[in-house]
Amino acid sequence: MPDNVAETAAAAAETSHAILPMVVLGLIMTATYVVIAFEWLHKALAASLGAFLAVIAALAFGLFPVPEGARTAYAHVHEIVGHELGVLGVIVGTSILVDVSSHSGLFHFIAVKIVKQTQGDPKKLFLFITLLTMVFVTFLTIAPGSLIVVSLALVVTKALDINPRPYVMAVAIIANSAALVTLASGVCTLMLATASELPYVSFFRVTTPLAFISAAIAYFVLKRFYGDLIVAPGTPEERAERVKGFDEWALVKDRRVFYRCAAILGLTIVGFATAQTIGVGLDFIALGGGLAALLLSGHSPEKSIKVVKWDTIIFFVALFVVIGAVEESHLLDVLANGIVGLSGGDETNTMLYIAGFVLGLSGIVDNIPVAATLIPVVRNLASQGFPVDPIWWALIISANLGGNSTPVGSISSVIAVSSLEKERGIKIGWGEFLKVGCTILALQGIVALVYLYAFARLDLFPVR
Amino acid sequence: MDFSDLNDSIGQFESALSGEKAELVSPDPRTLLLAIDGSNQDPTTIALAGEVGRRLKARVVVMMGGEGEPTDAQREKVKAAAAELAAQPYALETDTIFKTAPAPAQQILAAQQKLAADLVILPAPYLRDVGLLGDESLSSPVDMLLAECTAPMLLVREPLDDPKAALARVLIPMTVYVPSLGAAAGWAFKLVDAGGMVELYAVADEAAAQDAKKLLGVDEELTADALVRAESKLAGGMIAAVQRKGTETGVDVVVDVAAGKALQLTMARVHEGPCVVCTGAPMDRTSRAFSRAYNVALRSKYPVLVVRR
Repeated sequence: MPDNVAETAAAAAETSHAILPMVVLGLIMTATYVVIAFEWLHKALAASLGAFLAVIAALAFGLFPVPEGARTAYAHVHEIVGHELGVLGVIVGTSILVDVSSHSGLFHFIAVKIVKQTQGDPKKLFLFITLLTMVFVTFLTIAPGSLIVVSLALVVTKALDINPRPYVMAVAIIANSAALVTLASGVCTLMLATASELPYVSFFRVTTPLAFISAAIAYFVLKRFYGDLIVAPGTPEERAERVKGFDEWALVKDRRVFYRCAAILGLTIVGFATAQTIGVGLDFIALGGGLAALLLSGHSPEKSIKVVKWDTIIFFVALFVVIGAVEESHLLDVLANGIVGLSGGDETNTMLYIAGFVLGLSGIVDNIPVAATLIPVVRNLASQGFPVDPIWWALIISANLGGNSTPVGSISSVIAVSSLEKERGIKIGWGEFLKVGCTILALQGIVALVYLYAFARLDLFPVR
Repeated sequence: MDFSDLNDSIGQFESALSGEKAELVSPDPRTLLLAIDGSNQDPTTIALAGEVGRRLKARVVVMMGGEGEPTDAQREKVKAAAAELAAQPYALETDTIFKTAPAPAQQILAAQQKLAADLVILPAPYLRDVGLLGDESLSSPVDMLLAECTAPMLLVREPLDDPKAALARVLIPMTVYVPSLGAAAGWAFKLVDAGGMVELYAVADEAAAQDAKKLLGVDEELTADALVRAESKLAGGMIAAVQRKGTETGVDVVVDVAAGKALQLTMARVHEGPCVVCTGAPMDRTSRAFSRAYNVALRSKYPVLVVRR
């Protein structure tokens, strides 16, 4: 198989495509990602601008085919968006569900109840913040999950007069491991899972163990870096007394919404796990969960619909248009063939190259554009007869962990670092973050590559 | 980054960690004094008193506040009201009382003291032009009673088609925690219908916050998010107390925190549907808390329970 694939790749590489459209669209895509990475514009606006320019360029170069039944090539833009409706549906449904759930007070209630178990011990608190990050991100995805735990860390450390830095850094970094626990634990994971149609239960076999291994690595490295700061003033009795006064019932807005959200979240997870068996898409399950949350949240529909992160939806639509236009220039085919050529057509090598490339790139560029760009690349490899499941797994793992290296590499880092600065006036600079984040990423990266290699060599990847 | 979600989340946690605990006082009322006045509000007042008496398992004593010696017509009306209550399918213990005093408020006060009544139920005209005060007074008897009476008063405002429906939704408005609010919340759980709902609506008063800002010389802009966060922290003890009580009693409790013009927002919330408003008013009539409770009572078209402490 690898020889055939290498031959196919070589043959494809020989196929000549116009260079200018590739260069122009490649530049538009790169410029869009740079603007997003450095936050020169809001990411939705940056992606929309990129999409606008990419469509103009693609039309000018005559790259878009005229779809059947359409009169203009422009209609191809609708086909690009339509092709990704599954991913968009998953994002819309999940964002409604997690937003309603995260505002229900349920997770805040659980968080305070758990923090009370620490009795104010700073080391236990550090461990519990780590565990809460894993649990909350697993159920709520990265942004809402880490936002709750970061705010908890900020308030509790203030109440106990503890330095918040280690705790906030723990959330920033461990959230990216938590995003690997299930198919629905992160937007990036969801997007790749929807595109690849990997079964929900397979995640428990491939990514869940690595999620915990990589979280353990982060926990110990963070403890090593920040051990001196994980201390608290006062006696253990005083701290225990202070923590005893925390009242989780102050967080309950409406008990009915509380129980309903827990039930809807549970049912949605069951739905994700059984979607393929019952013959529906993940978007159907996510939208069903979102609809149930809207109906049963107790809020007015107007208010509930407003909670949808529409900027994220615009960002995704625009991003898919950029990538769709670039795809038509065949730049991504060249990239796919280049990767296969580089690896000599060996599937394990290809998987490891892609993993290494994404691990490095996701720290600089938002992992979602990176993953979204690589979706058509992997699909291209699949169309050449390349076994791509290991590559999907590599992509999911590396896109999530790769964000650990810089303060802008993942949404959890952005939330943690900016919240710490806003609330407590404590700035975590690039230098400090790079030192901690890169150390963790280096260790996690090595483990992840060895893990993937072992899975490939020992045929441990689930077979569909 | 948009910090509104962070503010909201931190506000919630701060409410859990806030040191101020609210004391929710649960009353054990035995005697209710129903003071009718011969107005078109009497049917609503009698029906509501019957319903409250039934759920509290308390004796209802009927009287009519007037000037001087009660007339025969007044005595008849009182007896008819007591008979109407006694004829209800539920066994309600009723009685009548007649007092002689120069003013209605003095008669009601004398009766309340004689009976040691735990709750006074009486009509208070809704938006009726009361002499020179326009619609800025609850009527002179009610004003006098609010000055002198230490027992809680259930003021019946606009006549209601179905007074019982009001007891399905008991609303506790709040701006800052005062002990009388804890007492009002205790009453709220006593009054609410089985299967009904208690709502705690906490509003950060924008105007008061601006005044405080000026007084303290604070330059920082007070955004709605910041005010909601501050209010959440302030209301934490009260929220925890009502939610615990709700869990104990099986009553649904809904909490909402908002920021803006407190009276305006509160009245909009009150008038969303039939309800009974439970508000706490300190005995000190010059306090801001008293003034807030009075204004809510004045503007509410639904019954208002004013609990003194």
